Amino acid sequence: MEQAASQTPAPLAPGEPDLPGPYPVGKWASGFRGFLRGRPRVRIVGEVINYRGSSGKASYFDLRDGDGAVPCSIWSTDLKKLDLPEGALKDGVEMVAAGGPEYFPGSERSKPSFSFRVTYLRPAGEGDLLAQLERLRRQLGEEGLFEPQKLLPRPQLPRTIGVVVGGGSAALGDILAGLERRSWKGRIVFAHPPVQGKAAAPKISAALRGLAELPEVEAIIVSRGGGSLTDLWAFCDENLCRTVALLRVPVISAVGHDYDHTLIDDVAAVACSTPTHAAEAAVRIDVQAARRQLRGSAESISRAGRRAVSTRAGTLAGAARAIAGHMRAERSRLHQKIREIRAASARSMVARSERLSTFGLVLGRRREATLHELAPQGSSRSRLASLAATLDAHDPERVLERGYAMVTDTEGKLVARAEAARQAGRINVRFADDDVEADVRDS
Amino acid sequence: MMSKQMSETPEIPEPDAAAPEPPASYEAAVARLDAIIARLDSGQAELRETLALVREGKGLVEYCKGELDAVSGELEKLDLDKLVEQLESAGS
Repeated sequence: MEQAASQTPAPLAPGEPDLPGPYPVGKWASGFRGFLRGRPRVRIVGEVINYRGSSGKASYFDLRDGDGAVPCSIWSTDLKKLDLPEGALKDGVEMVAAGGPEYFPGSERSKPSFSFRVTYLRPAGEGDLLAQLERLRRQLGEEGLFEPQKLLPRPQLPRTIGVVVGGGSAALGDILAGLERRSWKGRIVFAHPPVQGKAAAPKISAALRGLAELPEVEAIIVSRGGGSLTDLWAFCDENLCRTVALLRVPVISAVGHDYDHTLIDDVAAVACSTPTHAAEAAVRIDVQAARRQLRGSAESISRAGRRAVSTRAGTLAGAARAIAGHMRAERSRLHQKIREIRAASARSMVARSERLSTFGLVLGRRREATLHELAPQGSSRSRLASLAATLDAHDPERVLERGYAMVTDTEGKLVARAEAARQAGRINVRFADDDVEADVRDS
Repeated sequence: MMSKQMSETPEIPEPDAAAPEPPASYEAAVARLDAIIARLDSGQAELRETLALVREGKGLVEYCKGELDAVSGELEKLDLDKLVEQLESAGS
């Protein structure tokens, strides 16, 4: 830079510091560039912000941490040689950049600029982040913060689910597809905080607290697509994980790919490998299948009720039939007895009638004999004839022949009055030629 | 005599007299429903218990049907920020 000093120093104005120069600025700028280029090459680390993509020849971004920032540039040819994964260089990622200070002195028409010229770039701190993650994991585990969420009751069929995903994230579509697979069409309350970068963790925590304050929310899904550990670092944030651990609502995490294991997975109630699985973990039953199963349960219950009644009704009907059978048998036995009694009574009447006939025949013969013996004695004969006529008149058989009938009850006892006939109920009426049985009915 | 027989007959509870507590959740209702069906299928329940279980089971079926109906309509999507704004404006 001394080479750029003027050979003929100008006189100092009043109050002007007595310093070397003045030098032509272009030459000084060129010298300054040379000075910067002579600085030692170093590696710096920080979060990428204001990434402006490639402008053709170079890409520009800033690296920043809590204490300051440096504008960076990298030639497109250098960037291409690094063969970084697609999208690795973007806002929010922690990167390590190797290079040194560079100054573009500008020209008559272009502005000067300073940048850290990057010749090597890689995602920063995988090793450091992993070590930090393990330290945090051990600490939270020792504090027992992995347990509270897992002890929360998790409804199988929530009506309202909270969902925390990045705006426009593919994870959102996967969650909706998972819920669709369950045929679940309840209520979803979305929150779309940033899911990457230093501002992400506090905003995710705020979203979780906001959802948990809604009494209708019964489960919360937190999801983010895959990325490097740096990309996912917000979900390893200590404060965020402490918030999740003490939330009243079960949190289901699905962050990164299935091989990623962030700290939120440890403190959440359930950690899932994909957003779809998270949705299915939030709604654990298939609504249509549950409806079919419910119909089956309803039929089982109705069938059991009908069976209980019909079985007992059958038993009662059987008992009733048995009683009726006994009644019929007893009635039949009684009828048989009655028939036997009537038959015995009829036989008794016939025998008695035959005895009376025999008796009448004997009397007739005796009368004939007596009349014969008394034939000469006229007045006596006349008296005997009168006696015989009287006797004939009292012969019961003769009375019956004249149209009278003899009434007895079923036991053969003579029924002489209407009242006795009513009491007997059933009577035997003997005519001259035969007997008939009759029921007594009052008209 | 008849009145004495009637007094010796156990009284059948009124349908609402032994109404069970409402289930705590859908899964609790389903678990109770399964237990009821298992008991009914065992054939060991007396008539009165059977009728009580059938009544309780039908109530649980209605509850579960209501829960399934609640998540079978249209998917409702709400935004937390807008919801909070609405709550705050309603509260102010």
